[in-house]
Amino acid sequence: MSIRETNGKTWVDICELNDIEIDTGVCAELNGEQVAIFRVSPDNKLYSISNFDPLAKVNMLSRGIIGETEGKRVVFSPLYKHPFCLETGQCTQEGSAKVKAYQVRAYENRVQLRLT
Amino acid sequence: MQHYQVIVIGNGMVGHRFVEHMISINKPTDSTFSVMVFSEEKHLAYDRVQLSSVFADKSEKELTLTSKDYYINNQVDVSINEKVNYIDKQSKTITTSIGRTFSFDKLIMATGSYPFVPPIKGIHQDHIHVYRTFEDLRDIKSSAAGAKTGVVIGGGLLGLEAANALKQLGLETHVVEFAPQLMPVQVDESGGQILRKKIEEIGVKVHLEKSTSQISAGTESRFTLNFADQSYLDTDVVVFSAGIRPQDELARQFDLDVGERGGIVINDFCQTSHPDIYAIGECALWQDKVFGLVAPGYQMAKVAQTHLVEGSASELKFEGADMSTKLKLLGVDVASIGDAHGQTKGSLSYSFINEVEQIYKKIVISEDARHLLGAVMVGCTADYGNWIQLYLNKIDLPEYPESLLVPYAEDTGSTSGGIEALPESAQICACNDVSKGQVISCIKNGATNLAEVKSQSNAATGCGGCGQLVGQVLDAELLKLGVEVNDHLCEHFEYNRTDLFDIIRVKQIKTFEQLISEYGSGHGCDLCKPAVASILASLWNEPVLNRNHVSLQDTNDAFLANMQKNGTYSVVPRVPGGEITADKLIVIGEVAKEFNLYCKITGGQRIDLFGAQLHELPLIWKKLIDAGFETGHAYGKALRTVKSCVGKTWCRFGVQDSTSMAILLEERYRGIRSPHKIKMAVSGCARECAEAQSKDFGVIASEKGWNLFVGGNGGMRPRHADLFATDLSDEELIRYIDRIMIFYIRTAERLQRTSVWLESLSGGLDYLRSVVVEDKLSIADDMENQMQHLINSYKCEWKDTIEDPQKLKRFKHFINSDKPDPQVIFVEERKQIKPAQVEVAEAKLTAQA
Ligand code: SRM
Ligand SMILES: Cc1cc2nc3c(=O)[nH]c(=O)nc-3n(C[C@H](O)[C@H](O)[C@H](O)COP(=O)(O)OP(=O)(O)OC[C@H]3O[C@@H](n4cnc5c(N)ncnc54)[C@H](O)[C@@H]3O)c2cc1C
Ligand code: SF4
Ligand code: FES
Repeated sequence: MSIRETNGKTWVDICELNDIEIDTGVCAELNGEQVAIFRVSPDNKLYSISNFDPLAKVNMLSRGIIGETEGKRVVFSPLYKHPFCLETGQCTQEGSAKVKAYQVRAYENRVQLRLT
Repeated sequence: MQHYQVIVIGNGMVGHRFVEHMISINKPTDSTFSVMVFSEEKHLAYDRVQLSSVFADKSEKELTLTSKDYYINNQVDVSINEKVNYIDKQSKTITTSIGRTFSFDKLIMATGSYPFVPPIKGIHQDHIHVYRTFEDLRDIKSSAAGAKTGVVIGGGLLGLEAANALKQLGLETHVVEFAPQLMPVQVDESGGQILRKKIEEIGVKVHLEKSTSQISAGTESRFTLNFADQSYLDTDVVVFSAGIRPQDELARQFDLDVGERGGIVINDFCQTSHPDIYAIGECALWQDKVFGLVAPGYQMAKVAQTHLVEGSASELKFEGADMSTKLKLLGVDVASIGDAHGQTKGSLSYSFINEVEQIYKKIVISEDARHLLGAVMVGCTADYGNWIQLYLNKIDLPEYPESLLVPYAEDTGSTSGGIEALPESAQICACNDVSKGQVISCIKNGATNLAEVKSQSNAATGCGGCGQLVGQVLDAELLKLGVEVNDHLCEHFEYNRTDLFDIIRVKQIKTFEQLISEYGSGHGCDLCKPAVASILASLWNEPVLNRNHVSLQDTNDAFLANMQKNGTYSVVPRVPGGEITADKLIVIGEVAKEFNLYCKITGGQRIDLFGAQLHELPLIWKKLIDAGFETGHAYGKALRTVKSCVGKTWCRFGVQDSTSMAILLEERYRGIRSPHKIKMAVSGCARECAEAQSKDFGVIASEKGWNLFVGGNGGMRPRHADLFATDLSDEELIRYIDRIMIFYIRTAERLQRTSVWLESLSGGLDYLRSVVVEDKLSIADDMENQMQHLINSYKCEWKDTIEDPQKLKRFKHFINSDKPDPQVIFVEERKQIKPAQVEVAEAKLTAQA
């Protein structure tokens, strides 16, 4: 795991930006945690939330379809289609379900997650 | 003398219904009523309405409605083959044919009716029958043995039913009717004429205006029927069906009021002239009317039972019943509503005759032309559902009432306007007695489509005739609830699937981005993305994991495998027609062993391997493809399997090579994306071992070729497929399937199976035939070209994927490590893996850590 420090924050290098197809996600391992990272059109924005769907109890949010409901960018969990907000990790259908959101950035064409 | 609180005379359909009501109140309370039932027949109640089916496909046992055990277990005493002969109103006792006497508090007469036999010389002989009981039918059957001809005397509803029975027994069948037409009660003269033509077409001879004067011994046959006009008819079997009479013998003998033309007089609570004696069913006369149908009898049973239990507090009254009927007699559709003969003062009528197809329809309307009073239909009863609503609910007729008569009128608006006018109590589904109010409450409970209304209320699950009405109520109510009833795909497109399909086809759009930027808004969602992906694939057939399309794919398509509950996948190689070599079986076994996969034979005649992890999928598929397998599209809304039977190659009954045809079809249509999955099957003969009639496309071999069925479905709402065409050659079969499939792909809604599509296609099967067979829309060539393009551009998606490093990148659990998902844990069951329960998985993980 390669670690870079910028502005006093620790960013962990994950993959090439082009390893993530536009409007899809991948799962990264960060300090033993499973983290989903999404690359979203139209402006190639990166989002990151936990890979674990607390309703289906499976690690696979990174494999969901990306969309929008009520103006929010969400990922629809593959198994039972619950939408999770990419920004906050909040499930927009089941209020009690929320997953952790991570900080992610593209840095010189590399995708990096911030270590928390 | 034994005493009962309630004694019931007669155990026909209505008497039995009464007892059931008694049992239902007896059950929960301690204050059980003592009940005794007498049946003159040797059986307890049976379904007389279905009586004729013992000549077709039912046994007497299947028609039985109850059993002695059931009665006894519910504290009801019962005696069969024992007739009640005597009623003493003063002492409130009855005496039976074997001399037993019992006293009662309340007496129920449910004695039904008996067939009327005119007093003709020579009727008391063997082989002359009536048509009412199991015994009658058994006797008719034995008379028919060795006989050649049979005559039914009486051309009414029951007479025609009896004629059908004689025909089924293989007799040359005649119907003799006194009136100048058939079914004089229900239909008018013109209707009777069409009915006669149709019935004669199927080989039943009809003799009108004949009155039988004598039955004498025949020379060639058993009898000669002599008619008043000196003509005669030779026959071996005679069945009288000259009307029924209420069985009111006991009432006449023991001074209960009876009507002039028979029937035990009852009031609105079904009490006879003696307040402790009730009469219900066909023996009862209410407001000078006898009701010869079972439904009014059932209402009487409920009314009488409620009054018996609640006494004067009871508010339930018998209020008469509608005698409208719709039925199929000798294969002819006949229906009659209300005042079919236009006897209401000042009534007006319109009629329609289609001599080509032999259809007759008449409506009788009120003097002010506002309401439907009655109707007759012969040859086609498709309008019955709408018309009965107009009639029962007194809905205002359209300005030009004759527009009701024009078949398949484009404008159905008149009746949907009518839907609003229907009161909530209006019965929408006659088969299952579902009212408009009940449909509405389903919608209030959250139902938003027909399927949900059906499963909640049973509406439209019988004959299906009310489906459209239910749909209209649904749309009207959703509108009222503020649910926007549009067929837009989702919030991002103001088009339905068909519109989008046309746009994409005509404008040659190749990507989702282009479509949404020109014809939609926003960024798309889990509804529109897969739907558009499917349309793009149906038209241009580019691999679904290509860069432009990969992000549109739903869960299973996204990784070309079905995701299981624990995030692992299943692998299903194609096994065309279910035929597989030993070598290939071995390869599947070896692969399953190497990757430790769970094996199961599917319902689609192939093998499913479960428990593959994302990173293993390409490795597994590499091995399978090297051994000659290809993807089975178990994950796609596409052709699934074409099931087959062994057919004439092996089976002693087979008449065509069903296996080869199944393989040919599966290889032709594999991979084609469609609005929903498509299943097919081919059977080698009518025994139908491949269950083709439950498939979207079913093919059944005939002596001369293939019969094609469409629109079948197993699954959630099973539907038998409809016969589309018969005796097709291989080429015709394929041409028709090509065209139907493309037409389905072009016009179905998202996730609509062919069964529902066909049901919602206006004009139905006939319309589909006109498009496919007659090429009414002149699109057949175009559709065939599209199919040819799809066939030519087929590629195995898995082969394409394992050869493309860019695509393979996605088949890893972690993008930054080669480890699998540590939280996928299996346990063992019956020597194979299965996903561990979440708790077990967690425990195992903690133990490892
Ligand atoms: C494996 C299998 C059951 C088995 O153990 O035998 C199966 C398994 C699934 N069926 Fe099925 N169906 C299987 C035969 C059937 C059949 C029987 C048949 O095809 O002869 C039916 C009824 C026939 C029909 O479809 O008309 C059937 C009716 C359904 C339905 C209800 C469809 C409907 O229109 O009513 C669904 C749900 C859906 O498609 O929306 C469904 C959906 C599914 C899915 C795909 C659910 C899902 O999304 O995970 C299951 C996953 C399969 C997998 O992971 O590989 N499956 N399913 C069978 C695979 C057959 C094959 O070789 O491809
Ligand atoms: C072939 C056929 C087809 C029909 N088709 C239809 C249809 O499609 N739709 C429809 O609505 N209706 C139809 N009907 C009519 C329907 O069957 C009757 O309306 C219904 O059975 C009437 O029920 P019930 O109990 O009043 O009389 P029944 O069923 O006649 O029962 C009366 C019973 O009482 C017994 N009984 C009489 N007197 C005594 C006594 N003194 N002591 C003891 N027992 C006695 C009789 O033997 C009989 O078993 C059809 C009838 C027939 C025969
Ligand atoms: S459908 Fe006919 S040919 Fe095929 S296996 Fe069954 S009996 Fe034999
Ligand atoms: S009337 Fe509703 S299903 Fe027959």
